[in-house]
Amino acid sequence: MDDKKVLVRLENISKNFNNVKVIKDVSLDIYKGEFLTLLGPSGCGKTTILRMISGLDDVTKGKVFIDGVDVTEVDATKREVNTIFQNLALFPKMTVKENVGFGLKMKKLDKNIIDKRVKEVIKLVKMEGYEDRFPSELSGGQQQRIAIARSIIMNPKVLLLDESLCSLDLKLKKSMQIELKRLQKKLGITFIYVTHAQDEALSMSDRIAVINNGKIEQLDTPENIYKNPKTVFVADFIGEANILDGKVVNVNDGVIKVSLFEGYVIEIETDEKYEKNEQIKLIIRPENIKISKKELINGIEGVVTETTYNGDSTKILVDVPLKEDIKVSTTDDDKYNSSTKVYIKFDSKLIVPLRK
Amino acid sequence: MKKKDFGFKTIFILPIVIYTLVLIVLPIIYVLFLSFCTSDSYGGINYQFTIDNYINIFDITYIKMFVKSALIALVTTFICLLISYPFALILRRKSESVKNLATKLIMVPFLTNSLIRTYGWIILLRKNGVINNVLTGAGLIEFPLNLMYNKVGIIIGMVYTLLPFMLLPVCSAVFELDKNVIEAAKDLGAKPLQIFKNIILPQTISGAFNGSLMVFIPSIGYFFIADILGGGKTMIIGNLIKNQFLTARNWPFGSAISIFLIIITFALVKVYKRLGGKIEDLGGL
Repeated sequence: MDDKKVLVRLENISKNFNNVKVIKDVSLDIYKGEFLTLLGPSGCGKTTILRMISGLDDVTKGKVFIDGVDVTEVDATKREVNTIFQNLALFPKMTVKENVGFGLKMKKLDKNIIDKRVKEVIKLVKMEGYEDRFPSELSGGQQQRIAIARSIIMNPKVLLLDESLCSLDLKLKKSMQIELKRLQKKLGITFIYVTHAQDEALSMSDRIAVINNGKIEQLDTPENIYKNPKTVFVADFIGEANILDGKVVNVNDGVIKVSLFEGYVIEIETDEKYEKNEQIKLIIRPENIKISKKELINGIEGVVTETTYNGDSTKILVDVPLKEDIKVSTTDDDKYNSSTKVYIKFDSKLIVPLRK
Repeated sequence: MKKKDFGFKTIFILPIVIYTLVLIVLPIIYVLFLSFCTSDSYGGINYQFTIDNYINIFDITYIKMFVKSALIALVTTFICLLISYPFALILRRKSESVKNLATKLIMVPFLTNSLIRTYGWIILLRKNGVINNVLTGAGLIEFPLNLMYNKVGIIIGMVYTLLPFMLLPVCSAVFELDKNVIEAAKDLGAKPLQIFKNIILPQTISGAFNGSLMVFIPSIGYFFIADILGGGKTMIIGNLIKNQFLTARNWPFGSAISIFLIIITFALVKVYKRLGGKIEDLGGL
């Protein structure tokens, strides 16, 4: 990915449905060969963005470029983009072979060429031997593979996946994720993946665009999205986070002092310029909080209200002199029963300050 | 519990069984019986076994009539299909309330007797009827068209009367189409006609065949439409049967043609089942 060639460019696109603004002035560059995820809650407009790239929905305002060509007015049938639909939308009255070969048949290619390509692609998705079955005779995962095969046979410049893994059970989902990544690397196709599941987005994507209310909240790598959320929404939506209110009490050259409550002040390094007495939000991930039954230097005293065992970690809710209980995630073996008196301490380097 | 259940079922099913037996099964058996009898010259029946009635059906005069009748029925069916698909495909994209309203409107004509509705068409179709007056008045044609007392009139009447039987099954099949499947086809480069041929038609064919049966079979037999709008000049099988019973008074021959028609109907239903149709969907038939 050294040559960052822009493959899909969305230029100030907006979309109205019945005079309701669904997409508000979104601009986005998607690079060749990357796996980009549009992540957001349902109804945020992520699927609409996808449909505007595929051409199944037109844009109200703005422009769509694919490979440098303005395709805003180009019909979906002619865009070199293919979609894998949420419900897969396989053709029920066609066999696997016919489903996969459909796009090439529409191009009126020679039958021998179609057969050869179908064979190749079916092999690629490891579905040999199922050529003459009907979609209804396949399992969920197999249908998924056929839907993928049906799209990649077209050699699309971009493959759009609309919540395609949502209907699968957890184990199958994991294996399909790996499969998708494998195919993407092998074919070098650009993937744009739409999902509301943040774990999928974090594990599969090169970059994630977090969408909320028809706008991009943050566009960044999974790591940056998780570690340095730019808005409270992103912090809250991706993973678990404690979102605390604080007041800046001292500003000093890249370091601010923030008071969380009467008598408790922490120092945070930041490049952002804050004013004294400014009200800000602090984002702290549960795993960045230390918890102990013994007193910690500069720690906060609290009482355990709830513990949840998750196998690899334990989630603990601690009641402290703040508005909400603090979520702590720990991997140590100490038992923290309800009403145990504990001390917690924030790792001040991993606190992200945000303006409201 | 079981005994009580039995009593309940009997009370509700028995009248239907009696109704079917007395008004459908017995008459058909009687017609079947008659078809193997001979008629005397005064319109009476001789209870003497013969298969001549069936052999007579294959007389060239009747064969011609069967073919003509089947052609009229085929054209009627085809026109109904041609109207129903665009109608259903346009309506498919509309909201649920529009769909419901349209479906209700299709049913409205059924509230009037079909004989009266057929007479109504005379006002529209005759030489100085509404349609011809409008067309000549608008200067589109010089002389009035012959829209009735010929095959055109019969087909117009048949299409009008039988269209709902095509519209309803075709609509219900088309409405069941998955929007995503059609979009997927579009996404893969299929043009509208290709989508229709490759996606919509295969997925709705059983609805279309269902409707075709419900249009084709009655249109062989609806003699009153041929009488009123065909002016009695064009006979369809329905007229032939009616004439054998009422005019020629050859009940055994009329019975034989009726049985023959029933056999054709069953054969068509068999084909329908072959194509994967469900017998329940045929409803009225």
